[in-house]
Amino acid sequence: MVRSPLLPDSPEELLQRAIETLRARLLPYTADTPDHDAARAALRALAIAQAELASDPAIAGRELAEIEGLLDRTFDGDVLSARRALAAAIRARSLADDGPTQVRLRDHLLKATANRLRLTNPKYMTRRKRRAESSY
Amino acid sequence: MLARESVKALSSFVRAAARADRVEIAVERALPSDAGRMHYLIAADIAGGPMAGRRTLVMRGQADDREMTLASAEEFAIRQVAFSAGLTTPEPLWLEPNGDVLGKPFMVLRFAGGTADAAVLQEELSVEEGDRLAYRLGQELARLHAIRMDQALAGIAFLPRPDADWMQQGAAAWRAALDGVSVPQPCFEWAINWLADHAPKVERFALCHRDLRLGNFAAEGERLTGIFDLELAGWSDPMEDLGWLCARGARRGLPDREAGGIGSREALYHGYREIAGDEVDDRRVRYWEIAAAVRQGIAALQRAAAPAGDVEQGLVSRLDGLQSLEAEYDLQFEIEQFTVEAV
Repeated sequence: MVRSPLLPDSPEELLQRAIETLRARLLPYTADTPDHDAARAALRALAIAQAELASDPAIAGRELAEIEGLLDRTFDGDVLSARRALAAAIRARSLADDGPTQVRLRDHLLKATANRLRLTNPKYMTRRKRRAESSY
Repeated sequence: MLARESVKALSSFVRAAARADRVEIAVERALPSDAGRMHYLIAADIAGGPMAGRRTLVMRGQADDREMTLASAEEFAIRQVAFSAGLTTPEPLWLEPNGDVLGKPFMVLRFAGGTADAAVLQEELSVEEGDRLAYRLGQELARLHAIRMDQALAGIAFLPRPDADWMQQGAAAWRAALDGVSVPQPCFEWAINWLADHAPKVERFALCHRDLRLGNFAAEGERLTGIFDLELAGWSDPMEDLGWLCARGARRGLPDREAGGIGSREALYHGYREIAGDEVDDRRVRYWEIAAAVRQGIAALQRAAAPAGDVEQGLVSRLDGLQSLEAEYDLQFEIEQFTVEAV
């Protein structure tokens, strides 16, 4: 996709400037007011959007490949359908009950959780005193 | 706040219930509320009768959302049983079960005092004070758990009794809850299977609070003043309450204080043992911590999926739902730890 930037900044840089400005100029004035929690929530949402924009776009593809390997079928690039099929297979206990499959499943689940948590609450894993799991 | 007519109706109700000559009520402030529940701190000047004097009371209405919570009459019965068993909980005084007075059922309780503000308690309590409060919470849970299912107390006979496949039923309820959120959840599906496969053998079911955590009890410093919010209470494995309190998601900003972000696990267990006389089954507590992560995670997903009143509430709910990822992360490590310890 060819982009025609409106401003000299990239969308990521614009977002960063907006976050810094709101944090410095808005947040202090909302302290002890009913608007404080809303302002913090809005800033957190912007930070998550920023993290998603900066994340490796190949992660979803690797997650998809792992699920396809576990279920032995393809999903034509549709990660959501793949996750839905994996959830259904786990509930139906239709995945092989052998050790290697279960280990692969657990590895996959932990990586999938860690990759999302890294975007939404990157300090959480550090606080748990665990090293972040290897990425996809 | 309550309308003038409602305050008048409440005064008349209290006058009759307290067998007083005259009652004047002032609503001091709204208390934290959930599910559309009326919840107010009230000052009552009572003239005549056994309760004569100036009393600080709590008016607690029935929740609108009745899928998860008990009706006022049932909650009142549980509070009476728990109070009689010695639980430090606000004395339940009067029940209006029909909605004739304020349009919805409600109960009146004595005010316990202290603060239930989690941030205040966590900030104010030193490590030693936190341990003493955790010890007290352990004692309180043991008192509640002294109410055994096999005692067949008539007042709370309405509580469903777990049968042989109770954990399978619990798993089915969790799966149904997951069906209500639109995003597939492989990790929670896997954890629910694990919980169903490792369900503890429970020899004695007891009355459990099932939601004791920061925010649901009040204290003045290290002194416990009251345990609240018994509307999720039911028969269960007594270790469930200890696990719920120790679950990582219940510790807020102080994860190293394993007993609810308040004090140490050892202090909690010590207090429990002192009253119950039984050893705490730490492994079963750990099992229930994993179950707590599933419960908390699914609850976060449900909050995110619920219709929002406005844009701001919608944003807060969506962000709230992301707590499910923390629960996912916790439960995977805790299942790993549980499995390693079994080898």
